[in-house]
Amino acid sequence: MEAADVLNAVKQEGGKETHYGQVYDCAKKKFYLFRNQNYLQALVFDVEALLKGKNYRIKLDLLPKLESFVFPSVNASISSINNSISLQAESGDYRLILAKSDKFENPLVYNILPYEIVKSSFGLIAIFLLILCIPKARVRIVPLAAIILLIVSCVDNTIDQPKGETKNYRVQIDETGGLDAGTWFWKIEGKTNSGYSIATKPLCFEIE
Amino acid sequence: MKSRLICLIIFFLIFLRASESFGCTIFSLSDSTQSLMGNSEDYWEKGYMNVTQGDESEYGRITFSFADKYVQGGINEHGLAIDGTGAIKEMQMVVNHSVPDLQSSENIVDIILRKCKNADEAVDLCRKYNLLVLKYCHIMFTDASGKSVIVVLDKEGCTQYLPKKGNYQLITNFNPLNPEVGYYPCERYDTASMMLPNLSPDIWRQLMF
Repeated sequence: MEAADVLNAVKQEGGKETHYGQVYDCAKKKFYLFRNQNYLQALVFDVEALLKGKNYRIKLDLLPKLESFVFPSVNASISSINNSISLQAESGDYRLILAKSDKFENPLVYNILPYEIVKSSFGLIAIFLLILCIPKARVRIVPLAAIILLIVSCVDNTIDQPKGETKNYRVQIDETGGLDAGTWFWKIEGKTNSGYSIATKPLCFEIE
Repeated sequence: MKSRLICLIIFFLIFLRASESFGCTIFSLSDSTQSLMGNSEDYWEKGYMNVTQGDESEYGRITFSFADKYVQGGINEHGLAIDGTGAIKEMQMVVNHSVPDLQSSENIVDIILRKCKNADEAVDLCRKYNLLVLKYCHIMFTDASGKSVIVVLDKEGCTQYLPKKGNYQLITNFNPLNPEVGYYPCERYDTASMMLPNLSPDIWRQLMF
């Protein structure tokens, strides 16, 4: 039972209904914005980051729709097999922050690329391989692999991609050689005009 | 005669609905290392977030308002958070003639965020004025150290500053120093006051995969 639960317990419906709520973390200078009476998800803002940007006024409904981005969510999953996180989110710049403590000291930071970008890079690799193979046409396995990569890169990904501006993102978190065993805290930050000032709530997972 | 009866019923229903749906709940919750302030914004309009950079004369702040741009609450660069709840009816106020009046339109909530680093400075600033807005609302502010204060009129109409005692402080829409004025008992107050003593100042419980 925590602060968000209190807001959930006192929300109102009808008449003067609860449109939004906040929990200000005064010591850490952050705040959590809850919308549409959903207290399992929040937009997390860093006050100092917001105050390094420009003045602006925005309708709360127009803030990034991160419902599919904020965890826990059916659209995001972490795999203990290959240590990858995939998510669906509105187009934008996101990064994964990993650390051994929930204060995120000495964090590991990974930029998160849209899955389509990762996939399209197969095409460039394929073309490069084909060029390499022109003088060695007898070695058939390499050009064959290149052609397969080329085809994969050209396959339309519309099945996985919902309508609107939502994109699929994926990041391998063991790309630097794996993580130490133990509990790891993680969050995903989204970039706004004020830098990476919005974030998912911190969660943790175990590496055995 | 029939139409009058219908009008009377409609008026009664509207009145009943309005009185039932009076809104907003604010609480402060802290321990030796953490300081949280929660706010539930209950209204019929949707809200706006305003980001205002600081300069030499005032602190940067993030505020919340409705279409009229009147600041309802927010937090500033020093971690001072503030918000207010509407009073059930207009209170009588004893005016101190040695200090100037501050009209409601001048918005003490925004002034505190612009000028104060912590709760002590906010109290000092409030004492410099007759805060006429207190006839219509109560305000609460919480700072980064965990200090929290409710500013409210007492039964005689004098301005009182109620510091937090213990780990939490809470206001809804009734006057804590004069609950007989109205909207007491308050279900939201009762619910929150049962939960808050048992809480640690965390936003969520930790989830494990």
